Amino acid sequence: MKGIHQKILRINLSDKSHRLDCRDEEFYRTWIGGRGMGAKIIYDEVPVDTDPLGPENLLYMSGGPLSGVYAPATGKTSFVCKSPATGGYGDSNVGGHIGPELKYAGYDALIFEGAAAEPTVVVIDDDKITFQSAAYLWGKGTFETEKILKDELGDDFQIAVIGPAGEKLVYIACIQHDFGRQAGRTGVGAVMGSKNLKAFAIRGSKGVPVADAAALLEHGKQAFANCFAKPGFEEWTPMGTAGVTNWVNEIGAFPTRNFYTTYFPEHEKINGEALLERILRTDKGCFACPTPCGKYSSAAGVLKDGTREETFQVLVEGPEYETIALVGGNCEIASIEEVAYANYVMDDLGMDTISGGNIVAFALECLEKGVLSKEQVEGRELRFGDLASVVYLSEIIAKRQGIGDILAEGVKIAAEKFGHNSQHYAIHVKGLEQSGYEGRNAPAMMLAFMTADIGAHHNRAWAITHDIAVGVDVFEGKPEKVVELQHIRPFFDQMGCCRLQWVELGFELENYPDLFNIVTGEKLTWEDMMHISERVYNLTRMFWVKHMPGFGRSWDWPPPRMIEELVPTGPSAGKKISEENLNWLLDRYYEVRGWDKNGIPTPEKLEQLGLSFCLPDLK
Amino acid sequence: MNLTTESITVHMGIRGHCAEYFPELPEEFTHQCGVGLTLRQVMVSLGINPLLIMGVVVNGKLAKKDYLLQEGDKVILLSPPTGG
Ligand code: SF4
Repeated sequence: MKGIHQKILRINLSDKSHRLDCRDEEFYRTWIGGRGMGAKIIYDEVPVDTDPLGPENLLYMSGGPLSGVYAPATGKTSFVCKSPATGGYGDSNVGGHIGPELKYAGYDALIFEGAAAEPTVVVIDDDKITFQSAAYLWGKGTFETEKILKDELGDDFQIAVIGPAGEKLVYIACIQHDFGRQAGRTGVGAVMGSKNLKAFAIRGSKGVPVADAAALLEHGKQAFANCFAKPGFEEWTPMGTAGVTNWVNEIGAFPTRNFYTTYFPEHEKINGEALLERILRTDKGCFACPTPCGKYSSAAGVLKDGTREETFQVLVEGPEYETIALVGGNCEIASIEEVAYANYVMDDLGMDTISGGNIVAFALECLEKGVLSKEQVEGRELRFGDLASVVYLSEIIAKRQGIGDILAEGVKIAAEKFGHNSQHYAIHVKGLEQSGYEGRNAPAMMLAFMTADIGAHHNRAWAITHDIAVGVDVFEGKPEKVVELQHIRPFFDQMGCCRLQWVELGFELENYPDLFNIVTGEKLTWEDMMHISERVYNLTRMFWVKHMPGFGRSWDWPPPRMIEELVPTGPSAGKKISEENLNWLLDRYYEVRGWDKNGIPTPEKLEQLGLSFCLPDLK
Repeated sequence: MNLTTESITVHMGIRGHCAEYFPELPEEFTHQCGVGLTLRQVMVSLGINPLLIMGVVVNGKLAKKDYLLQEGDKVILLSPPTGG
């Protein structure tokens, strides 16, 4: 098999050693790359009862066989670990250039083991691995850290860093790369921080072994040409994902005021047009991306904090849609400049803006409802719609100061500690805060959040268009659609490339087996690929079964607000999901998946997918 | 509705994955409709659920779905993109 080096670089931070883990081709055929290989490795090697922030946890990173080859958008990379945010399977994907660079350094994947005694930077320069003190970087923000390392090592190094949130083991800490790209979800930055790893830098000078280089040159050229020629190419690029803001409001699915409602009347102040007209400076894309969705913005404004007023002027990548939804609508910030500033603050602190916006909104609602008192926030008047409140809460969370120490562990744990019915305001599934779509009037999207294998994240099955297409009151066929999408979309993370060219431009799925086979020399069909993706989805489910005592159906249940409260305003006013309908959706979903009524894969299913090694973990 | 016996011709295109929900419509087509209709009304008359369209571009510029169509307009209907 080509497209791989058959080398996984394992770096032990405890004793500053490294070694190569060379696996046979069958391993790559079975798991492909990215989250597939990562899921298998952590399943095998991370023992039950491992503290996600202990040295036994692994931090795995890899793209896939397509990483860094001449084909559209082959720059995506997955981080995989046992998640501190949920205690279960965790992964998070990042764009930029670091996945291809790892490949050029001669490795298919990178694994950090153990924990360094002191803050450390690891430098991977092809075969040369060095460990440097990061004492002088500890406490610094992500932007400054990356800039210092670029200046010291050279611009040709690709760098991943954590900020203060990762250092303080905040469960929503992200890993930042390329001055604004984040592996944001599931607390991968906290795992990096637990290893005392402030940053790592990679530079490679090798090639990628390709089965048929001439065919790749021809096919790759054609694939780029196809993307550029796709009708709609010119219309997609200008606003990036921010362009979806109006639409999500129009269909009544925009998280607003801690998911209290699903329509933000002031969304036109933070939508794609506002971004385009007021703050956008330039596009910014990942490696080999024909459709750069990244937007680089410059925002200025005034931060009014009590009687104090400070001007701000920031350059930031974003805001992209998820940040607009969770920091904008969900915290009711009605200014694109202010959303951009909060985006910058959270990025610099090294925290996920999705979970960050959720936790801030949760805290604001807890204050409003009297669950938290003014004294617990240093006597401040915190409120929705106030940038200073968002900034203050972000900072105390990232630095674990005062009440921020509890909020730093996410809304699920915070609600357990706060009590007083605050579970009602905690919007999460499995402990992961929900991303920027509301499901009370979109059952397929709700089911997608309930059954996503990392918690309430949208990217496993973005099923909301299906809800609109077949009708929001229709349930039949939706579990099947969610399962189908849960196999298609994560497979891109196994190959090491971005899915937005397919989603946005309609770049045909048939292109991917062709590219994959030209690079690897394999003869996979799309159906083979979906079978492999299903295998991985069942393995990640089994990770939960293995690691979480009592795991089952109740873990797939949505936040109480979705069931108990009617949407009060906007196009979805009067809607909620009934328990009866949720149970129907779950029953059918489990049936389609070949899982039992409790949501556990059956022995037959595991055997059919080549997962017999999981059978003992069914207990 | 301000419909008259006169008609106008507009050029329409559908972009992105939503096209799968309107398989009977080609990616590009020319359409004749009455004067005084909004784009939303024309979408409905063509069997296109306006909620499945994220945004519209008319003659190269972003427009609202309630845009009043004019003779010769070039309209592009965009599917919602997704992040992550
Ligand atoms: S579409 Fe966006 S996320 Fe995907 S590769 Fe391009 S810039 Fe990166």
